[in-house]
Amino acid sequence: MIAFHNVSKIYAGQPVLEDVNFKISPGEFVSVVGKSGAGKSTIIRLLIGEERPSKGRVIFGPHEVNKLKPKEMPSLRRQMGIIFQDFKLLPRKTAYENVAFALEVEGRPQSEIEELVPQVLDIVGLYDQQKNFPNELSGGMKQRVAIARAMVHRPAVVIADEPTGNLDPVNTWEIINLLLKINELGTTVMLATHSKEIINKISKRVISIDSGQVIKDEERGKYFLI
Amino acid sequence: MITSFLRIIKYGFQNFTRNGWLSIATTAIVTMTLLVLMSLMIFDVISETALRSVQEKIDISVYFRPEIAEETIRDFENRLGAISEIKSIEYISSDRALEIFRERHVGDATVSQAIEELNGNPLLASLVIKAHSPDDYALIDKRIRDIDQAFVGNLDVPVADDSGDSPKDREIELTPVTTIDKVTFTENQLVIERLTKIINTLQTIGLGVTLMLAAIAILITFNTVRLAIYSNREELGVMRLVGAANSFINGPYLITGVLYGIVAAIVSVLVALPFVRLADPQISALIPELSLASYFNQNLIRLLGLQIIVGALLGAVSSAIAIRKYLKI
Repeated sequence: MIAFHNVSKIYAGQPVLEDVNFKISPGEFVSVVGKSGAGKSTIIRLLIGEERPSKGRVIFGPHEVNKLKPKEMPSLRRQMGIIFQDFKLLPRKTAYENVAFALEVEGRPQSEIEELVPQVLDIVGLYDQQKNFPNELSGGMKQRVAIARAMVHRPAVVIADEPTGNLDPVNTWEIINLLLKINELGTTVMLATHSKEIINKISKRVISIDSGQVIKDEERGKYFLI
Repeated sequence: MITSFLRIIKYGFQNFTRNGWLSIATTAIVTMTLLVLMSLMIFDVISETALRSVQEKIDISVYFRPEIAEETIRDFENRLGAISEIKSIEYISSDRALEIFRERHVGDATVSQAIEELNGNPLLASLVIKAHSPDDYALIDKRIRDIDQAFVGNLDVPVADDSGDSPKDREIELTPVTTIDKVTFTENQLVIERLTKIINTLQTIGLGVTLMLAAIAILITFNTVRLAIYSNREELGVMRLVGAANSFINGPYLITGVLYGIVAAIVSVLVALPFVRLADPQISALIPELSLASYFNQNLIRLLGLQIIVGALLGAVSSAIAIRKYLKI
């Protein structure tokens, strides 16, 4: 499903990733763990095609992401659901419109959108907030809108980059539980985080990154970095 | 495909309505450009009608000496017919000339009486010549005298030396040995020359002003769209991450640009309408052949269509420039 082969990324002479190798199978829940600046976000940016590796191959399903042309990126990203620390909602669209947007870019018919969006917003517990704009929602609610947007088009993979970084513990667990639920329904989930608590509690596969290198990759891993 | 297109249009409208004052400012600028363009078009109509009405009044009359027979004059007329610059030639016999004279002074007892007291008809037969362009009269005048010379040769009469006559003379008395008594330009020649010059100059200035305003409008529309794109740049990034194709991201901006143009076109016509109504009586007094209001009413659809096309193009071009420059995807 996802594979990194000898991937290196160098920014202005400084290596950020060095010879990273890993594979993720369909249906897995994988956490990428590391301190700030370890290279977690770079791995995600390479995977979603926002950056190109200096060396190596990034594989996503049938695509070799590092070789995709800019024109082919939209269709790649439609197979993913991406969640960010800062939510990245469209500020001038309501919760409903934000979620609907992920379907609109695919050219889905209006009737399908009108059916799916309320359903997914119901799953994340925001059925009553459909008409609210992002600035009328709390951080946790915003992140749940983002999750709804990331899952509404049934992507093969949901990629979450520090999704709980801006949230309090209660909201954090709501978000993590949603991700676990998405995974249970069969979607591959890749979660980048530096939260020891989350990693230790969910006991899923953990890929540990330090100084741009994979230092550990284990099933049911624990957080051992300081 | 159609769904996406409709969505692009929907978001174009959203850009327009959600960026309230920015849209108003840009639309106002485009409106001003279109107003200047429209004034230029209206000015064109006015000046053309004015020029044509004056041009219709200009002619050149060739009066023949009374002893010249009608066949000779007809022959003269045929020769003139070969000159391509001439639009029309009308033969007015001396009888007809008298008739016209009588008609013109029908209420004037003194004149009628004077005519009655004359023995016979003192008026000369003439050819009234109209040219296609007022510039051609000097040339036609010269040709008339060339033909006259040829006739004089045929008539075997000694040729008079008329080298003293300059072509600029508005009324040329030819020597008695020619077939022609005199050639007259009507008074309008100078007026027409001056009018043509003034109109041409004004049209050039108007075109310059329009081009300048169009350039300003493009720059301001461009800047507005650029600002909108700049302030939305994070949003655009988000759209890309969600998998929006380029056309889905920049399409709405193009639509917004076109909307600026369309709204500006409608506003400019609405603004122009009362001014046209107001100016109509004055212009009609000046040029009786022209009713600006009825011209405007008759051509409203065409004018509006043209304004919309120009406005939409203006908006689309400036949006396209801004998108190309600031929406690197």
